[in-house]
Amino acid sequence: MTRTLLTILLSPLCAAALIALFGRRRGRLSAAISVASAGLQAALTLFLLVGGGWDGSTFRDTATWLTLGELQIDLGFYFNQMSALLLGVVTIVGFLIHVFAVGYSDDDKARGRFFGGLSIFMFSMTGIVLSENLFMLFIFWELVGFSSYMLIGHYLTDVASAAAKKAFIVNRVGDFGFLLGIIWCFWQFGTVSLAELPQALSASPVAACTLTFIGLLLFCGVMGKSAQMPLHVWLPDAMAGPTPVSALIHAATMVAAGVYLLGRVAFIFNPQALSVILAVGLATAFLSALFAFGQTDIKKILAYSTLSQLGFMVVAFALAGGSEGAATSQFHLTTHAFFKALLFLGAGSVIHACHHEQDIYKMGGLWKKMPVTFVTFLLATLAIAGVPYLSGFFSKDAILLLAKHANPAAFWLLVVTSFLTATYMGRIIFVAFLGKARSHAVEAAHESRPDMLFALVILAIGAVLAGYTGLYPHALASYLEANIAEPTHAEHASMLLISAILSLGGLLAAFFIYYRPGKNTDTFEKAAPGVYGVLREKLWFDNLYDWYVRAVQQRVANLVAILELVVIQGVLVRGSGGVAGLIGLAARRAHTGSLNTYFYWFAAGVLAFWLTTSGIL
Amino acid sequence: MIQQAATTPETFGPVLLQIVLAIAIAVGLILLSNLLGQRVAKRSSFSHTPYECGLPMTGNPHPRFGVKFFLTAMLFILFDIEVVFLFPMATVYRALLAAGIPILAPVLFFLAVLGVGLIYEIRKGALKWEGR
Amino acid sequence: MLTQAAETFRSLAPNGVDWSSIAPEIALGVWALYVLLREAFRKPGSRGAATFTTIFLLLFSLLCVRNAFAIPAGASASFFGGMIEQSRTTELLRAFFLFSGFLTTLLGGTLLKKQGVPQAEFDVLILLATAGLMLLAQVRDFILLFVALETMSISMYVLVAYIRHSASSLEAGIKYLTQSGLSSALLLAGIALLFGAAGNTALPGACADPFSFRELRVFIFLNQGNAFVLGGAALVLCGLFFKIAAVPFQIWVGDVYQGAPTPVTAYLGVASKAAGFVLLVNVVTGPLLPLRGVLLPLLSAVAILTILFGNLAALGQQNVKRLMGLSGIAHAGYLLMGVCAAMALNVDWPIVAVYFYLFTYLLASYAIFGVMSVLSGEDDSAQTLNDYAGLMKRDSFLGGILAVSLGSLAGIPPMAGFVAKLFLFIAAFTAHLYWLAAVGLFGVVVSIYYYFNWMRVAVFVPCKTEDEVEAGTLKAAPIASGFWLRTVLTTLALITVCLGFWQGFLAL
Repeated sequence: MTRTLLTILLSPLCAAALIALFGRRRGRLSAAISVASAGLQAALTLFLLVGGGWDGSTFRDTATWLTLGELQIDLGFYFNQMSALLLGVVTIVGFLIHVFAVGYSDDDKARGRFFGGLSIFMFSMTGIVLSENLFMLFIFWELVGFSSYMLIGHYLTDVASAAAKKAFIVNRVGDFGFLLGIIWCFWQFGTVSLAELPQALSASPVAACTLTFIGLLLFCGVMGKSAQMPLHVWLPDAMAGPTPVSALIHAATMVAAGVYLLGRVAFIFNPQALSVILAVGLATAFLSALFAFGQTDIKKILAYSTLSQLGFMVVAFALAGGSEGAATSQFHLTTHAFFKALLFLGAGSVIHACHHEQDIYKMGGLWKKMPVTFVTFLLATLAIAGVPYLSGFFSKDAILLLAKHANPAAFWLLVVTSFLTATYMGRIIFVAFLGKARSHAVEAAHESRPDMLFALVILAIGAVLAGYTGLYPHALASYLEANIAEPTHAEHASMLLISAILSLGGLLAAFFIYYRPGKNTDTFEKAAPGVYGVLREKLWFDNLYDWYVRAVQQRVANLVAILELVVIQGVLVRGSGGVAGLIGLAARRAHTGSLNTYFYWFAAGVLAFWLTTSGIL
Repeated sequence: MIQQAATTPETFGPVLLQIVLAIAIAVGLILLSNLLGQRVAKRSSFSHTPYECGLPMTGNPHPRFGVKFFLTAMLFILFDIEVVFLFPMATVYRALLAAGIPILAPVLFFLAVLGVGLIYEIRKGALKWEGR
Repeated sequence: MLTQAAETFRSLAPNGVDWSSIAPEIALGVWALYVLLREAFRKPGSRGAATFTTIFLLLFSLLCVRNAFAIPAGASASFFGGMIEQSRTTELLRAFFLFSGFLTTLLGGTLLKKQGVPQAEFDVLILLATAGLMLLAQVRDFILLFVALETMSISMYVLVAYIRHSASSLEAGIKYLTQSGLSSALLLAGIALLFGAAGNTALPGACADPFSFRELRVFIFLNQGNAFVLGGAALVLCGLFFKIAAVPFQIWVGDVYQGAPTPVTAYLGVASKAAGFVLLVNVVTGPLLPLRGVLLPLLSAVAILTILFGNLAALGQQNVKRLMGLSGIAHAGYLLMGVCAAMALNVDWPIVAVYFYLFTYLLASYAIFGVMSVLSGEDDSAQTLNDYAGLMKRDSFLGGILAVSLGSLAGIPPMAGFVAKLFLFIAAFTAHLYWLAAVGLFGVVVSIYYYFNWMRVAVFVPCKTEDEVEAGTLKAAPIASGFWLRTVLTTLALITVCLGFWQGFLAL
């Protein structure tokens, strides 16, 4: 078991090392290595989940990494049903996206770097899934942040590097809180092992206030990685990266790591913390769905939809907390991974075919030219909209049911959000895929390569079927069924009705508002330019941050820069003016090269020592 | 093992006196010559010449000379120290044997080391007086 | 009379004299004699024993590592009436010194050939110095300490001045000789004061053997205010601080490091410094531990000054050997931090942290000095940062080794140096030495600046063109290095990276 997990963890790292050594100028080779490692991961995961490699029980294996007096840090695996679920999602979706990426990146000059980055990402993401304790998790947490940074900035354009920088910095803000939380946790309970924390928690009662703070600090990490409300600004910009990266990292897996973390440390959140988390999740879900209307870039619309769905997951967790909340959120995470990865890959297929055109108002009529892409994209759209009996329906239903029981206000907000979701997704379908082509690039579009379509089709099957827990491996199915609230018969009917109305109604609304073949202006924008403007500017979050950065941080930074100029450049290096520089200069001057001077040093030293020990000094 | 008379810090008084005296004489003489000596030509460059008779110097005041004398001196010290080491060993030789500590082999080893050194010097020509 | 003397000797060595306990040192000495004889009878043009010496040292080092793990942890044995104490730690330290001896002879092979000076005597001196260092790791007695230290020092005087045709090497030799001689004198004076005080039967707890660490500790505990004890302790520390180059006894470092042949500089900077630390640790947690109240502030102050001086003096330094020397002073400061923590806490794990740091320092330093030996031109002492311009382009292997090792010295995360520094800082924090740790952190930040500057020059500054070489503005340094040297440098860099990830074997 340990060996299998270790192989799953390390094979992408080996792949990355091989690519770094041999593949920097051999794109084809590095693609092969990277896909092979992802394939190995997927195969081994399948072996664990359905091939009988794992008996469904919680598995834990640790090795001491280092001991310092009282402090002991372990490395190890903590593998339970929840991590099994996410491991399955990460490796299988990851493998399909790797396959897709081979075709997508065929015109990429830096293919080696691209696949190396993907492999590093797979390594770190698997690490997050399997980590036994929070320290280890944090290390991988930072590593995914790093690989995300590398891949967002892959195209080396100004926009891409700015986006990469933004993602990196915003994540650091969240991670700072996360780290504080881990340290506080360690200080309070003496351990950060995920397996030992629950006992430690029940053994030593701590003040509710302390627990709330620890929980919220840990949630800071989630806010950064899963892009929750005040820290959500990086995710739409991150779409500057290659589309497979957006699919894998910024839709299916990495952003879900935050939700996974919530589930991992579910026992630590008390009701106070959960209520804050609920508010954040609701705001994210609702506002992001609104912002999606203000975008015309297909990937940005999908990015806001990702934000909104992440909000759903966080809400699902916060509504129930504990294992029920965890399981419900993980379920939505799983289905979302399939249909959102599919949406992004579909978008990628379109973008690839249209020579990197991303504006939906320049597309149109693609369904004739790219039938497979269209069908799969449509299936994913129906799934995310929550059309009954597709995967999204089941998981979203579970969340709505939870909300209905726990918090009516949240329930109605989620209902509205679901409706909006169906509408903005319908907008993409009606504007980009139906109607008539609006530009030459789109007219010349043709269906993508078969290997890319292969990934789309497999994911489409996932997007349709991922909601049926009965199809899951036994261990996962029993985990989900045991922890997710089952609706009563009456409820079942009413929920079905609500879902059907919301999803189909939303799509219908989109049809009436947006289906204008041949026109390339936004109907909604024309009708209500003011509201549209607000949405386009995303409630000025980015402007607010920009202003903050310009007005406050930039000034501080300027000050620091001046200090640096004076102190580091002027004083230390040039050795002119200032205390430190003088010392440095004096220190170097002290080496006169004359033995006589050296002996005076000696004499002074001996004298000082003697005086000190004798207590005179 | 080493028996000492019961001493107190005060018994080190004479030693301290000796140190103080040595420093005082050295420093005092330098100070006196500085105070009493003539300082007319202090700033003149002639004061830095070995002879202040006004004649220009010929040749280097620090002539180089053959290192052979040093070599002889060093070899002497080497073998001198050998004797210095051997002498105490000889005096306690029997006592060490009585204590069951083997001593002959270490002494021979010590001599062998010096012997090797000597052979090396001879082979390298360090002891040749001429022709180096 | 005879029986009485015999009794005395028996009490000195209760189990007789067990020469086998220092067999490795004797073997080194015998091998040195063999090399000397072979050199004496060597026909001109035939090969010497240099290769064998190098292999011999490496194998011996590995053997010691194996022996070390054969000794159960925590066990120790005394020999020669308590003059020598052996445990797993001392065995590992023996291996440490043997390994640095091995690396020095290896680098020597590269450099000495270029400089046109013979290697046999170099190897002999390294062997003897190594034997002295190995003894130093085990001594628990001041008189043996002094003898072993001098064995090392005297070999060192010659080694520093080894390139006889180079004025700077000779200058370094004479400077090292005089200053090291002075420091030895101070050490000896300190030992004499302690001896005098402890042998004084009028004082409580007078020792039968006033050189022995164990007996001295008891005596010093009973006479903490005695002026001789305090003075003696001060002088002993002066002598040891010279070896580790701590402020205010650091002043010799620049000139000597620059002038000495590069492998010797490495040996001086790593092995000799390590020996100083081993002695310092053994002395301040041994006989001088009762004086902790006085010595801890002193050592902390010295550590702070050392860190500041080393880092600030290294800033803007152009000569790379000086740079290594001065930054080495800063490393001594970080190590002193660990020693202070060990003293304050009176536990063993900070000591292990100190030794671990020394090992990572060995790996990184030798790798860098190795690169320097390869690059060194006609004048071994005149290598500046400019000579490294475009190294990455000229020879990416050497550039890579340099980058990894500089990263380790600067304490950049995946390298071993980071973990080693982390341990020392944790030790300082645990011991509540906050000021010390803060200054240490400041020092590390400053050090990143000059180490990275070096890296920047090697990676980003364009390499000087061939025309410039022909015009004579650049000392043409052909980059040729043997297969074995490359292998060893690679190994060093690999261990540096591996130790950055895995230190589980350390029982801290």
